[in-house]
Amino acid sequence: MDDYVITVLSNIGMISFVALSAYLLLLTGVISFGQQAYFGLGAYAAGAATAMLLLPIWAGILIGACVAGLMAALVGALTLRLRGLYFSISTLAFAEMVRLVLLIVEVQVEVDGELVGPAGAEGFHDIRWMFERDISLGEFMLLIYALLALVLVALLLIERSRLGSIFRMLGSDDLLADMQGLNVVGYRVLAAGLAGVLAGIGGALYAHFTTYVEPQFFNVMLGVHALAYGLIGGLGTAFGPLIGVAIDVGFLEAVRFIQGYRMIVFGGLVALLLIFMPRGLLDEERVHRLKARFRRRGDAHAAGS
Amino acid sequence: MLTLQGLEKRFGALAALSGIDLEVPAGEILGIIGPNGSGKTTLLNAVTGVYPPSAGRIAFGGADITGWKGHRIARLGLARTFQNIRLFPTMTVFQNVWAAQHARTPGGLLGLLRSRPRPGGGDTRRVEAALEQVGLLASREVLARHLPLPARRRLEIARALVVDARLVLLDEPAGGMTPAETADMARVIREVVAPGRTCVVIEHKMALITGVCTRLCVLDFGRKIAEGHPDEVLDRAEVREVYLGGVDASDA
Ligand SMILES: Nc1ncnc2c1ncn2[C@@H]1O[C@H](COP(=O)(O)OP(=O)(O)OP(=O)(O)O)[C@@H](O)[C@H]1O
Ligand SMILES: [Mg+2]
Repeated sequence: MDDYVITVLSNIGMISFVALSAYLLLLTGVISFGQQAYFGLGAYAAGAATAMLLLPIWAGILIGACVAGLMAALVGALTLRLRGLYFSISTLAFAEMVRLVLLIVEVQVEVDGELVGPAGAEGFHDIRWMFERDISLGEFMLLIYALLALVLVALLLIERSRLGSIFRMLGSDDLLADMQGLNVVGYRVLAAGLAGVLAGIGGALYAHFTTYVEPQFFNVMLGVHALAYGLIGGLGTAFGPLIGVAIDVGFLEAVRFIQGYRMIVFGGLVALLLIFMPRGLLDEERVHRLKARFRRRGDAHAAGS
Repeated sequence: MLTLQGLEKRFGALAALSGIDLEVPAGEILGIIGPNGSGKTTLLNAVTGVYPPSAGRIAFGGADITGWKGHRIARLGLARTFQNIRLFPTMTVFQNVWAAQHARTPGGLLGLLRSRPRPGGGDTRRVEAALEQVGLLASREVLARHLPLPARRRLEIARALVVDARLVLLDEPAGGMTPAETADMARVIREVVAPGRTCVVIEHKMALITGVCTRLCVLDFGRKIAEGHPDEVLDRAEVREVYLGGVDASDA
């Protein structure tokens, strides 16, 4: 594989974390335009851990995930009482605030005679963990996909659990969920925290893959895309947002002749889907039908053998 | 079981409910009737915590629940149905009832991560029993949104059965039903819901009211204008005037 293919595939993997993050919140019925903030916080925190504190990468990823998750739960506890659109706007406001703060924060320490750390608008350079250990892009891509697989399995298990159906109840009808004894705000804060963790892992990986991060990357376009991936791919299963990412970053990026029109094609795709399949390609009903078909086939197998 | 004192609910300038005093003793099936917009649904919403009352007090089973959030009230053992039917449309019949049950099961974080029971597993008997009682066991794997209206109303009732609610509030359980379906619903309320539970039934259909209620309360413009035994209340002149005035009693 050449570096270009590896980079595209790695981008698909890393963006998938933000897509899953937005998807988890969509499941519980809230629309966040601000998941890029937790991607950014995860990137900065993980970068600081390995480049400034010289911690190993796993500690960096863990710290990035925790910082993003705690922040997301805290912000959620303050804002999730707001209804619908008001909440969505508050997520956007918070994300912009994070970006603006990162634009001015300068905290640098001397490592091996060089200054390392966030340098305001210049960004945070020299997160050189990969180079120092001579790790190739291909090897790092494997790390990305290993973690993505882990996260995906965890999400699929959650979806099969009671927590998963509680999340879906909130997403389907929060008044009905409330009337059935569910603490709607409490469970949404939990979902927001978990979503923050997912975005934080993605950010931590991103910081180490590109070796530098700058606040500009965590702008609202990243958040809007993350949201759109779930809406394109479908809200019926965690595979949905991954399909969304693959369509956008994979297909549209690869098909060179639409390069200049990518945003137009992407926007059109989202619009068409929202009209004809408002809950995406793999929505709940299609997932239900697929599962029923698999189960029948499984039963037929069992009966035949 | 349920006590309302001076209950009032205003929406801006509109007083949807005012000065409602009501006592529902345990074991009763109280009917609430009244013309459109008289505040019946508002009363039910205030009791279940959809919104807090503007004034007055609500007590349920000895606890003062005025101003409590809906989920806390529900956990005290209260269940309801909705005039415009609320189900989780993309869940199956089974999942809808199971969700109602486990939404109330405590069990901490670990309990939350336990896997959902597969239909047919050991954890599902209560759900199946509730579906059986309302005659929906055969439709268990159907998506709720594909059910016909009478079945959806019965699914809402199965949901109340499975959680062992002490107080069940039904908002027009026979709304949109044919006379035969209404009779069937009356039977379900009498034979399945009422035993061992206290019920409040909002209804327009006299066939259902006279068939199941042990007491009747009449609302008009947000005020209680009559209360007592159904036959006696329906005989009163003021009730006939405000409620039955424009409507043919046999049809309504
Ligand atoms: N959320 C709300 N905001 C503003 N006004 C409301 C609201 N809910 C109800 N109302 C008003 O309060 C009054 C009582 O409504 P309610 O729904 O309780 O009547 P109802 O007795 O249930 O009528 P129906 O028989 O049509 O179901 C109506 O005038 C209605 O328009
Ligand atoms: Mg009503």
